[in-house]
Formats: sequence, C-alpha cells, structure tokens
Amino acid sequence: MTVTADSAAEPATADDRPGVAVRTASAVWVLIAGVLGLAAALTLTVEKIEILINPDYVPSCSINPVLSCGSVMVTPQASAFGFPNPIIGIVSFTVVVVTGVLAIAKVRLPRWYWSGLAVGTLLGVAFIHWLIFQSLYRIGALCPYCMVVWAVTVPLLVVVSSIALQPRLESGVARFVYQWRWSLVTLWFTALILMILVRFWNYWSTLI
Amino acid sequence: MATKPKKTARYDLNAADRRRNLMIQIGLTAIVVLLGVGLVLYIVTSNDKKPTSGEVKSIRVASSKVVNKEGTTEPKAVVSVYEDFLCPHCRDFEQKFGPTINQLVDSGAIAADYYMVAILDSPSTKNYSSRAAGAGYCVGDESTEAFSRFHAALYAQQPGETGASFPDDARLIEVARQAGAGGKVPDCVNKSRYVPMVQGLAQATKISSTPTIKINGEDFAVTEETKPEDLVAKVKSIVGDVPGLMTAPAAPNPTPPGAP
Repeated sequence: MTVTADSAAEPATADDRPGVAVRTASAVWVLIAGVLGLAAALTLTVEKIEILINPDYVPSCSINPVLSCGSVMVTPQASAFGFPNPIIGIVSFTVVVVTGVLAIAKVRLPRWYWSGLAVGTLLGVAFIHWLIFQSLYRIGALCPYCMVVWAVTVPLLVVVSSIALQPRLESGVARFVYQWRWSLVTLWFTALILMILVRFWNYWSTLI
Repeated sequence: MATKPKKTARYDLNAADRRRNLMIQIGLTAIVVLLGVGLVLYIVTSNDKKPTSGEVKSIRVASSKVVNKEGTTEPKAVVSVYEDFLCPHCRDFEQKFGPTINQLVDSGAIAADYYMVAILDSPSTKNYSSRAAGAGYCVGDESTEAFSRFHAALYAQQPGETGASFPDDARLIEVARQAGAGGKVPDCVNKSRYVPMVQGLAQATKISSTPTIKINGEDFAVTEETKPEDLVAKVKSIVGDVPGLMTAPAAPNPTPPGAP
C-alpha cells in the first residue's frame, strides 16, 4: 500500500484548463481498482450462470468450508435487489475503469463528475459493509471474489473522494482525516482481517 | 499562489518535513496494527472455547470391547451418573456401587457417563463443589483412565460438608498429577475452564438431586435397599450375558485403587 501525505491533485499552476487535474498515481489506482473489481464481478456472474445451468457445479472458489463462494452465491443476500449483486458490480466497475483510463490520459473531468463517482462509491462501500456483516455473521462463509470487491472498493472511495473534495481539505477535521487516510484504510483492513480470524477461529485453529 | 522560484525552494524544505511526517505516520499505524493484532490473538487463544453455563458434557468411561448397538458405535447400555464431589450420598453411592460400575465398564457391558454437577457451592467451602467438578472435566479431557483414579481419590478424601478445610486448586492439581493426569490439567484448573459449565449443569441436565443414576436415559432409583446386584441385573436385562460379568461382584473396597 502506498502512503502519500501530499495532495492528490496537482497544483493548479499555469494550467487554466477547466476540470480537475489528477495525479498519475491516483489515476492508476482508479484504473487498477476498476479492473480488479470488474474481473471479480464478471467471474462471479459467470459462476452464478454455471450454477443455474448445473446445480451440482462446484465454483472455482469453493476451497474449504470457510472459503466457499458456492454457499454464499445461493443465499438471498447474494441477490439483495432481486437480481445477482455482481451485475451491479459489472456496471459500476466499468464506469470506474473508463474513469481511470480518462484520468491516465489526462482528460480533465469536471469536479461534479468526480463528486458523482465519489457518491456512487460511497453507496458501494455502504453496501459492502452490509455484505461483510451478512457474510461473516449470517451466512458464515467467505467468498474470495467478493472479498476482492471488498478490498478494492474502500481504497477506491478514499482516492476518489480525495480527488472530488480536494478544495475542501484545507482545514480542521477534514484535513486531519485526509492526512491520515491511508492509516485509516490500513486499520480498516486490519479490523476486517481480525474479524474474519475471530469469527472462523474454530476452523482456522484446526489448520495450525 | 507561490511564484516559480519560491516554490522550488519551499519544495526542498517540505520534502524533508514530509518524509519525517510519513515515517511518523507509518510508525504509529504499525504500532496500532500490531497492538490490535496482538491483543485479539491473545484473547482468542486464551479464551479458546470455554464451555459456558447451559452446555452439557460428560466424561465417558468405556472399555474398547464395550457392547455396541448393532451396526452403530453407540454402546448398548449407557449408565449416566450425576454427582457432586461434595455430596455425602454420592460418596456412599461410590463406596457401594463404584467397584460394580468399574467392573461393568471393564467387562464391556456398559459405558459410564459421568456428569459432575456443582449444587453445593458455598463461600465457606471456597466453592469446592464447582472447583472439584471442573477439575474432574479437566482430568477427563486428558485421559479417562486418570479420570477414574482422580474420581475415586476425590471421594476417598472427601471433605465433610461442614469441614474446616477444603482442597484448593493447587491440591486438586496435585491429586490429578498423582492420578496420572498432567499436561493441560494445571492450566485448565487454574483458569476455571469448566467452572461456569458445571455450575449450570444440574439445571441443564434437569437433575434435582445427587446422586442421580440413569440407564439409557431412564432413571434408576437408588435407595438404601438397592444393591449392586440390582444394577447388574438391570444391565443384564439390556445387554444379556457378557463374559467376565459375574453375578456377584467383588466385595466393595473402601479404598479404591489409586487413592493415595
């Protein structure tokens, strides 16, 4: 994980073109997150179709009793809005991929565009926390591809909201949160890993 | 907005500043992460599945040649014994029936399930009842042979209900050691691993008095007149004749083997 304390946007120096300038590192991050998320969502959708064709199909990610996407994919929570969740992922991560490509190409997108993307990502993060809770404490199994989506969405929110909120990050609490954002992400990952460790300790302890 | 030359000069100053801030940030984050991981791992490994009040567990003593129900690994006759290590009637029961039960177990006629309940806890005994019962489970986890000896030893040296001194945990660990159970027993006793469970065990198993004896879940009433022969006859009616199972058991031995 890269820890950067400096600003996400390049200083608006001599360049007077409208829109938001994005640092290359942030742009690459957005693209990588988009590609990983899209790959995970596509795989999940394909596996879901395979299960529908053949109910005995064992998905490629059913590794052991805990890491088993087969048992997660057939739950009602996996189709929270009446259709399989990864379809949302395919649509949203495609937008993220396109945004990443545009940002790398130095296309200056207006601030409202980044704000919209940040709001969308925030909704995604909220949804993901609900899914994490359901997966850990209601379903009791983990699906590796879903965890890829969990893992890319939270850093994505940090990068995108940093870009969108750049002018408002100069003072007070916002500045503090902004400066410590990667520490907060690290703590989030640590907490998630510990929750998984504790929740499935009965299983992990048999592997030691 | 800074002009170009000024900006270059400030950039260098900031670079050193920023590097230091970055180091502080990484360092603090690493400390918090390590503390969190260490704390959680410590709690998880030390609190590993402590049985709670309401759980039911027995220590099963059975010989390898025990008669099973046809086609299963479940013994044909299971004698369940619900006892409190502090109850005088339980000691009387053990003196009268203990050798018979041991013989039934050795012959393979029955499996004996020991439920050690704690219903006689009181501050004056420093809760000897639950500490002894908890220690019984600790020993049973380690080895059932050691458990039989530990069980007999605790009844042989049972403190009176109104006695003046009651064995402390160190003494229980020592008795367990003499019975042949070391390993995790000291840790298990010191951490009171089974104490919450045994305190709720009488309620969880719906036992209203000790000793209570059940054969395959059915109450086997023990009164003054009940003789060990009655128990043998009852077992025989379930499993039939088993080699090595004599009609007249050996005379009750007041000092069970293994008692110090």
